[in-house]
Amino acid sequence: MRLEALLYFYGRRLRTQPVQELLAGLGIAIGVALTFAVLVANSSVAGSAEQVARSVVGTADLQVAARGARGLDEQLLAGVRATPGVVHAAPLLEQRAVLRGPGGRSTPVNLVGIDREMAAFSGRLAGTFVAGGLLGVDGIVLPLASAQVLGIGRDHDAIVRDPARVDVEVAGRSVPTTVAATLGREAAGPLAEALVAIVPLERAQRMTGLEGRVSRVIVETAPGREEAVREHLESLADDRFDVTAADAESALLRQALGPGDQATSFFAAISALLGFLLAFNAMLLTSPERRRLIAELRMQGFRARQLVVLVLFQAGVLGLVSSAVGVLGGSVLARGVFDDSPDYLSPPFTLGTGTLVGPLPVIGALVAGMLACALASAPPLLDLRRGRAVDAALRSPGVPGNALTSRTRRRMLWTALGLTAVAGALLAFAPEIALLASGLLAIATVLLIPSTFAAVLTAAEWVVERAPGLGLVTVALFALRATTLRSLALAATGGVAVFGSVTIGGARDDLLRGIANYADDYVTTADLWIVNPADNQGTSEIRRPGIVERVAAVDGVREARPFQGSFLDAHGRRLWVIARPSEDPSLVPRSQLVDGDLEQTERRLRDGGWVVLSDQLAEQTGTGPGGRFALPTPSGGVSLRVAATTTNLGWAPGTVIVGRDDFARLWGSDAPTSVEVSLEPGADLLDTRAAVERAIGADSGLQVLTAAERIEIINASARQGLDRLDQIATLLLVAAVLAMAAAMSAAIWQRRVAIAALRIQSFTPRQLWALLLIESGVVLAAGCLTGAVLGLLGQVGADRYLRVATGFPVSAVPASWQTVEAFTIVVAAALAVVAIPGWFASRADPSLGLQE
Amino acid sequence: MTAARLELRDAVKHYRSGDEVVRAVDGVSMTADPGEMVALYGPSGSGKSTLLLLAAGLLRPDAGTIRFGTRDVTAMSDAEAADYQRREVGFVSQSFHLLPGVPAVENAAVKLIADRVPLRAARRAATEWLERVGLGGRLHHTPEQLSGGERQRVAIARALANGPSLLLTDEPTGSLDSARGAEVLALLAQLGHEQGAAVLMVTHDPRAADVADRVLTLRDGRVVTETTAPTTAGPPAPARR
Repeated sequence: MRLEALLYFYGRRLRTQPVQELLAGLGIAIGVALTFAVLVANSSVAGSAEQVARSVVGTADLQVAARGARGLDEQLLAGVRATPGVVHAAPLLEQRAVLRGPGGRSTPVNLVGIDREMAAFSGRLAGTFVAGGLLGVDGIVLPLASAQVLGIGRDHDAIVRDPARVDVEVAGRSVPTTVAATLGREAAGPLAEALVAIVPLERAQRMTGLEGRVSRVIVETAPGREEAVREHLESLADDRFDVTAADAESALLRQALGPGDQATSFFAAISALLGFLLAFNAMLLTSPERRRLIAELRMQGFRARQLVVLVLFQAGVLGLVSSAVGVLGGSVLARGVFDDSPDYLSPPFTLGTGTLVGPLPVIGALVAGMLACALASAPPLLDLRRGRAVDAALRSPGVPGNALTSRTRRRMLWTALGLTAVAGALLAFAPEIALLASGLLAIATVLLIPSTFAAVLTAAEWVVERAPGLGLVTVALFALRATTLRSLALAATGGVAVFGSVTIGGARDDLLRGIANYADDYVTTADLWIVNPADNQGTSEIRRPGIVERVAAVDGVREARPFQGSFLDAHGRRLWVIARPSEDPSLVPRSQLVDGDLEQTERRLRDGGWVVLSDQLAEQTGTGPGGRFALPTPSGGVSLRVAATTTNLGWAPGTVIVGRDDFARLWGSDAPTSVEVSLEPGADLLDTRAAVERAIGADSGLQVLTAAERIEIINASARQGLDRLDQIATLLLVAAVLAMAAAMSAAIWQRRVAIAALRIQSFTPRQLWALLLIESGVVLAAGCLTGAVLGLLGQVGADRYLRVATGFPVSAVPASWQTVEAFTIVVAAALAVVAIPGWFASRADPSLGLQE
Repeated sequence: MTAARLELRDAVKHYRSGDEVVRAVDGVSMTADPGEMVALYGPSGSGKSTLLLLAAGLLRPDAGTIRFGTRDVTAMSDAEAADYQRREVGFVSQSFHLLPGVPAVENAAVKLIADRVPLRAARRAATEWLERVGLGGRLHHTPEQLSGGERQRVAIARALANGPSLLLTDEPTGSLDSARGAEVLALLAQLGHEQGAAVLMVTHDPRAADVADRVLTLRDGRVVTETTAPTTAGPPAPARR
């Protein structure tokens, strides 16, 4: 068919059905926008962190990294530089800190100490900081992102003429300093988006109490010498340090993000399915007209292939335009809504805050949108099947193009049941692909809706047969029988929205509940906690000699216990190592135990030589209770026996609990990372807290938190980390409600002639309005009910994935309030919106009913 | 059902279409007695359908009065008009307006259902009427399974199921072939007489004159001829006003 003819037919369609075309495009655009935004947001966290890492290390290809917060002796640097094949080597000291700016604003940052050797690596950091002479200035240098959080941001690179004063709270001390410069994107590149603070190495060492120590030495090797250098450095490290690629951080971050990204990608896929249904729905509104057009064109001698080309061309144009709109909308969403990096990742990783849009997601989104549009447009092509009458569109029962045979319905039911059974089997036997099970359930939701809908209609008819005075419901049921496919598509849209919302929201709630349980067990061992700010996991050292003894001497304090912890890179992941004081009433959070005997486990941890691992870590390293686990520590590699397994305590890469004596020996440090304080019976909590704050000194920069406050901070951090799930669930509902309401409104508007005819048959406008609302209510209820029931199964799937495949603590409570809420929101909101065009349509001019 | 006379006196209904005023009904006076069938002839746009809607109380006239028996249709509130339409008026249109996919018996019962008649009773009454119009064997056929004439019979059964004393029909034979059209006309006349209902029929069908008791011809919103004697050869000749 000639392009001119294709354009003519499309133009005709646009002129005759502009609203339906707009609705179809809107559906595709919504699906593409949600999916695209999630994919971009996911890749941006890792991508921007990679850019930051690269702008620090520049051309370095290897690094020697310390295994603990105390770093490694900077004397090692000489040995590294002397290694044959090493072109350049420079030290870095990195410590977690909190900057407190004017007006009390604060932000956690990675405090980075560098020396002038960095200039040799040609990274952005080197170029601006070293070559720009900033090493010589007094104070710290902040990238724009950090400065703006503190309210001292400049919109250009500048040496600050009127230096703002900030306090650097690090390692149990608060160090007043000034901001010497802020670096914008032009000077610092991607580093401008990172929450870091840069100071000369020696000053960083003094600030942190780590004189003579560095965190890592980055190395640039001569071409072709990398392997030889690595081997030499490994012998130099003697299993006390790690020798890795200079950008190893990126791989570790990707590993940490993996489970969350998979979960959000799955939910994005549900959004895509929803978008497809919205488009399908909108296409159905015009199905009768399009079927008639195809029938007429066939009678005029058009060949089947030409008609396929015609339909695909129209779908392609609509798909391309609406996908492009979706990509634009998705970019806005990714930058405006999904732009927060998860807080819980910021202590162990240096994250960027930029949003990266690569070409692949854009191309993928455009192609997917066009494919979805082609699929949604396809049903009228079924009329081209051999043996089907040309005028099938005019002879089928009900509203033309809206019939669904009972045979088709039965097939859909059996397929849905089959998919549900497969999903059940996956949940039971292959939890690592449980998300796939949830995906199958989403499809089963759509397939089940015809049967649910028929069941609801039959049940409603049974009721109205026996209940006088429900005449309007009866008439509504008649109308619903006549517009089956359109009603089903609307019901499916609501069903998938509720399914997605229940699955996503339910899994999120279960995860939050699980983390709350863990936080409760983890924190309530003490009445008060002394911690570094923004250090939920308790991994930053408090280098304040005698602090535990001073606190123990405070009136009202029964006991002060040093708690230790650290992040450790091992087995391709950044592990969280926890070493609780032996005197603690509980060393392992009781609610998080997966496999093992609690009392025996705690006894073994206190005795030493034993370790408790998160379940998934144990499984992936091929060990379990009774087995052994290799732990690379700052004093060398050790092999500890596994006493029990737990959940991952909310830290996706995995957790390791060791006895405190073992930790102090293996990490070579007694410095606590937090202090647990138990009070004398009857001591006033707040008074004692004030006394403890005085005892540790106002210049400590430390926080003294009640157990309840610390629990709330941990829970808030978890909530922030799961914000994206919440946002997706909410957007899913909002998009579904709006699109359904729009489609229903258009359908109602199309029926004005039929409504006018009912007016002539003595139905009052009020009755007709009620009729339309009852119809819409039945459609929505049938769809949303199916979505809610299968959504609960989907929630089980998502929970099982999170618990078994990723090891997150999950406390599953199905059929929660959230399910009712999602159901009610979709039904009530869509009805509320539909009520307006329904009101106008119910007042249609009766003379419309006299027209042919 | 209460037998009553329909009476329009100087009924006026104007529409505004842009700057132009369309005089759809422009001072029409007419009556239809119980059991009488009155046919309304006229070209498109002559105001026939508007006249039907005025008689049904679905439109309010700009001037003049419309009475049905003792009731002043013009002065009725919306609720009273709805009650009037439900209890007294039956309406049959050219395009049937049956609910697609719904069996004949339920289509015929729909008006009773709207009037809160229990479903079983509504179905029973509809069944009786479908049998009277000759569709006793097609009660459970959907409109798609019925011929044009059968669909019109379902529409007639629906209009009569509530026992109206005023039957308004708009081109009831417009979609039918001549044989079916003649059957439907005869049926309407017969049922109107049997029920004692006043029948007002808008039509282009010249055979309507064979069965109608009176024929009014409308042009530009006015009655231009009135013939009381049935003729057999097309529309009546112009008569003295």
